[in-house]
Amino acid sequence: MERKWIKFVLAGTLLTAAAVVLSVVAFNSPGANLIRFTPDQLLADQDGASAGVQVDGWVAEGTEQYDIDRQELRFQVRDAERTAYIDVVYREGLKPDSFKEGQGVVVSGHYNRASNTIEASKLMTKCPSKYEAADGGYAESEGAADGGYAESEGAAKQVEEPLSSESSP
Amino acid sequence: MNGRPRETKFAFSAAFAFLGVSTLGFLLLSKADEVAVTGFPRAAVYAAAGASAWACLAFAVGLRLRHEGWLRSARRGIVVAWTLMLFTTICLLIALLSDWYHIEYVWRTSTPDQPVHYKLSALWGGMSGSMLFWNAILTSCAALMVWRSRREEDRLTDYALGVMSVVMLFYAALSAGIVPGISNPFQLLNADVLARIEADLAAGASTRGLGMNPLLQTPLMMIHPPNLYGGFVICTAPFAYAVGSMLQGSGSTLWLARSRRWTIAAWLFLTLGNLLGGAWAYNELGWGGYWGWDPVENAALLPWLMITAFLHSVMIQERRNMLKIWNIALISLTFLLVLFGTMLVRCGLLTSVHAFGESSELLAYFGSFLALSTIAVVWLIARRWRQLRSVNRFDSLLSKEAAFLFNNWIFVISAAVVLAGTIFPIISEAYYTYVRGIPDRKIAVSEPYYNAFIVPLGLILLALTGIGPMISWKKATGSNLRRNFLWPTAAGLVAALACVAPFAMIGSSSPDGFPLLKTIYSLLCVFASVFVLGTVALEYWKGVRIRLRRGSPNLFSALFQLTNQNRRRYGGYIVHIGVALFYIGALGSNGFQLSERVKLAPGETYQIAGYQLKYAGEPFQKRGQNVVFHGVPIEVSKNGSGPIAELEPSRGQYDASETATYEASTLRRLSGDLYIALGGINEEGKADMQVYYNPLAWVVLWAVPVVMIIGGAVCLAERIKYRPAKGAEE
Repeated sequence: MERKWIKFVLAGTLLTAAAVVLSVVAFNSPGANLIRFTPDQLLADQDGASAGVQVDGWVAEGTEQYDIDRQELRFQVRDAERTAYIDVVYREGLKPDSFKEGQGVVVSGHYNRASNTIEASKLMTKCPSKYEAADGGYAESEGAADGGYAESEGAAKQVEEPLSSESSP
Repeated sequence: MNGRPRETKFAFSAAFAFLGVSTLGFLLLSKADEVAVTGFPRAAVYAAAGASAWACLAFAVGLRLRHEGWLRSARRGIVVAWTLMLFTTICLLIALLSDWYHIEYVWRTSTPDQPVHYKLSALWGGMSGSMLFWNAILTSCAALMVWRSRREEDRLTDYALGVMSVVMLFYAALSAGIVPGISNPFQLLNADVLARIEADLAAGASTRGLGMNPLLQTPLMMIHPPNLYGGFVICTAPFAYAVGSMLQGSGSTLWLARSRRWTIAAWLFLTLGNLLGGAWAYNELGWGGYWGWDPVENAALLPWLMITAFLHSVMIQERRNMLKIWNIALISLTFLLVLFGTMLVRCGLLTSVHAFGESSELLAYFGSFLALSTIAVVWLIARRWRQLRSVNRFDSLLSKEAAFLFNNWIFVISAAVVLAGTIFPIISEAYYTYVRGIPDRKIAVSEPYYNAFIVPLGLILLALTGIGPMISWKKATGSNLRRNFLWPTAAGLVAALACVAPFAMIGSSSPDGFPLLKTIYSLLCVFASVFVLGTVALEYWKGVRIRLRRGSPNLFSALFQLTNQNRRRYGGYIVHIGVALFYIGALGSNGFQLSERVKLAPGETYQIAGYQLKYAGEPFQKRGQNVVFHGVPIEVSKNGSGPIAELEPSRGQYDASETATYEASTLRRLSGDLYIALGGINEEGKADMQVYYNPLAWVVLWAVPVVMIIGGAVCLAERIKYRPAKGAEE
């Protein structure tokens, strides 16, 4: 009886070990793990930024340039306080749904510190801002988010299905 | 002598009478004053929460004292809560249809020119409405449990209902708006805001109401959320039976029989919810795929992984009375992961980290319920530990038990990996802050991580899908293995070998070439899928042959009889066919997807996957009910022949929205989808497009859901007979 148990325990241990190894390999596969920054943190960070980064910020107002001839999207991503700005170039895919100025975005790619530019491999928009209406963190986009009726409390933050729409290459 | 059937029938008749009368009254009164009348549904939510609270209390007292009077009252409390939630839901639908913009929720999710069906689906188009909808489903489940246990005394169901009432109270309180972040769906719009809207309208604003997010205004969004919510919520029922069984302490496997239909229903809805969600993303988001390992998607996948593991491991408990604790753990984890996923999504914990402070009350509310539920489950398992220990032991690694155990292991490991990836930003932030002393640093993981892990595991799982049902219990003999697996293995090998040349050709013709690993995985996937289909076909064939010998008139009636006589088993086989099809479709549409960025001026052409695309004519504008589409006409022809279709990729500008959304245009063929998303058109009419060719996409998006519905329905129709398992201490 006891021997049979040992066989199962051994098999389980082996398989779990294999799973752990596999997950470490998966974690280290190219593009799998990215350090996440806000724009101001990325500017302040002195190391590690040449690797893949993910920047969590807002599309700076008045910076969106979509060039159909060159098939590229350029904009700046800014932090909440509007103190740090980083250039973004995105050629890997079309711009994601509900991308617009003042919109929360997550940019993944390689950061070039010399030119302060992120060569984006992936661009995600956060929940469409109408859905985040009236929520302090986002409200500084001057209630434009809410059609101008930003104070109404309560039903704020409707983070339903399209929490983020993606655009992957 | 037993008043239970009559009392239950009376309670339900009263409930329906109340619903009819109150809805009618609501409609009539609304003619007089449509603002004041909303007070009724608003109050009904509070009353429903009260009724749930009463049910909790009465179940606690009634079960403790074994007092039938209290229990009867508690069951009535559940029926009352259900009736009131249903009433409120009907009222909200009426409000949405009647454009009552004095209600904040209606103003947020609807506009007067929104098509009627999207006014209705606005019920789940926003936070508080979808929470109400959630409550309506949850209370319906509980009411159905009351109804199904009406015939005779059913102590287990009473315990389970006690658990249900606690969960009902938790969610009803949310709908009632006691926690900032989710409000009562009938909350009126603030008077100042209302005044400003009126002023804007007078000044010529085009429309009132913010309107539902354009991304949600699509037919799939009318069926995807109800399925997913249904799946999430129905998971509560088997969990309630598991916990109820431990509370009751009888140690029997009755809870498995009682909860089986609930489990299958929850599984089916979750499966459909996930598949339809993928179809929605595919059709609406314009990136040519259906799964992107987004936190929201993961939150929906996690409970599915757990309940699928549970669905399989209960069979071992039924048959051999083993894995009792494991099963309770699996269904509890399913419930807890639903709660956790809801928390992630509703509190904006992940994608919008900045909202942390904003929804901290909601987070605390969910978090404490999650913690309390976990503690309660762990405590109960510890208390019943001796009763739950297995009598039987595993005999051999080559047995059905072992195959199921591996299956469970893979599901649980996959869930752990997906969960770890999903919350990695949170884990790593904690690590950097508290261990390394670096504030504000976190690490996010993305698709490559999940793919690298899930593909090999998924392939093992697929192989087990073929092995598990056929291998014998306890210990498989050589003849059992030969009989069941020889032909399917041969078929799989032949299919895989046949694919070597084509895969190599496609690989060498693709710009970057195929990595060796990908080719191996693809071949293994073909092998395992065909192997699974082969085992199912063989099993059917064996059954049909016997039926035909015993006098079935023809093949179809033999197939029907076979399935009809053992619905659970053959329903399961049908689901397994769906699983194999899913892998084949996913291999095609993920592994062999072509994706090209294309720029065309009017008149220019482009070649992809044997199709010729021609930008034929000028950019166009089309008016929909509440949207304008800006697009380009693309003529598609097969090489050499005339045009076979015209595609119209466009961007939709909704009246109530600032940004345009993708309206991808797809040519669906048996071999695959030609899918075009339009990025933009410049002044000269040049169009920037992303063109995808997704082989076999229809298999994943259409065939698999249909097969799953059929298989799930057959399983649901099972005739459940309860017989205590061997070795049960009864």
